[in-house]
Amino acid sequence: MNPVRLRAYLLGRLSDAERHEIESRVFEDDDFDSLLQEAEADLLDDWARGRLVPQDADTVPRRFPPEKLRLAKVMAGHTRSVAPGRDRGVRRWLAAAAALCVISGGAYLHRRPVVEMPPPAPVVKRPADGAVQVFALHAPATRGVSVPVFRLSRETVIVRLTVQVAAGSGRHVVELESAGPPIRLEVTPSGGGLSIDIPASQAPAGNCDLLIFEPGGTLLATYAFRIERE
Amino acid sequence: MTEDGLKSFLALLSDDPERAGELFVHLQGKLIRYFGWNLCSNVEELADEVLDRVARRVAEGEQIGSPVSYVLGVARRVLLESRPRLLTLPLEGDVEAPRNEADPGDFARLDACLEAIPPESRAMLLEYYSAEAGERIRVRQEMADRMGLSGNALRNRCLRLRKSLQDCMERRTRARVKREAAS
Repeated sequence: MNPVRLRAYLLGRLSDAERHEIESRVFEDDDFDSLLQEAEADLLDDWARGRLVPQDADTVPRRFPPEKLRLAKVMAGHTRSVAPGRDRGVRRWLAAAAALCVISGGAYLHRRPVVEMPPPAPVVKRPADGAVQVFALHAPATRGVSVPVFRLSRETVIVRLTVQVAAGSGRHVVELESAGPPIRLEVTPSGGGLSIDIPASQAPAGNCDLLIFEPGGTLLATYAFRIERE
Repeated sequence: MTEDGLKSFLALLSDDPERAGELFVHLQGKLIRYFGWNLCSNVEELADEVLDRVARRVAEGEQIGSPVSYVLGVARRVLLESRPRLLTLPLEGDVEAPRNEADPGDFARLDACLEAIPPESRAMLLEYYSAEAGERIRVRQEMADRMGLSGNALRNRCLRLRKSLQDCMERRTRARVKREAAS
């Protein structure tokens, strides 16, 4: 499996089905397990050395615990001063590390924050039908099934995600996960369905997971899909 | 986990008790990584929950063909059950930005942790992780050839060393926090 795919897994960019495939291999194949652990170390080292694109650099601290981030930062300081095959000594390593930022432990959330997204800005003029693009999710994602791909038109102003839920159910919590910050909304079903509107400019591109939670907090369903922009 | 449950589970993993114990710990490590990569914070607790459930089912007489696949299936269930707790996190505003100031005490602790690693292993660890992204494969293969190891063997050694360094730092950090709280 290529390193790009492993890195995508670590950054949370794969669909449920793709994640499950990798996780199955981790449990069944010890060599693959250590390959993924090494991919994690390399990702953290690249992050610590400032070698990631901004989107990835923002994602890393949200997905890894402070102790791993701190170690990567300190090792980056040391390995910058060490040529391959030579150990220049701990003291010099410490002097190099002293110039670095050290992330202190204890007070950070290392899980992704859930950003309460403000309601979409009110539309002053009623948009033409073509400006609202509906992505209807019919079936929860299951392992091994290819996920639906939606092509987001340039003319779209509002993206409307819709799923069907049981009639008479109360307010649901809907969480949209993607490469960007998670989005969480409370939505009341109507007409046998839930729909959420997202301004097209804020709609994530790439692999997405829509999680639907019942009013009591129980996970009801997960819908995996992909958005591609024109 | 009951004693009977644990014994039955270990017997399922291997006829050799010592080997079964190794496999149990090995499986526990995979579970911890699985939950970590799925953004759970209480990874050890969840891993134990999975193993408890599996041991209970084995003790109840459930027939399990592949222990590893079964454990993963239970882990997925436990992960799903744990997810709604994400919504109860008291998140207030953005994640606090990391403080950038260096703590001299941290460097002393790192010094001590590195000193605890044998010099040859320390050099190996630092060389392994010093390679830049475009050269990693070549540098690491050269190291493995030079040391007469397979790529996998070298990788595993370095991963273990890195983990031990991280654990050492965390132990010393916790000890410092405890001392400061007591004073």
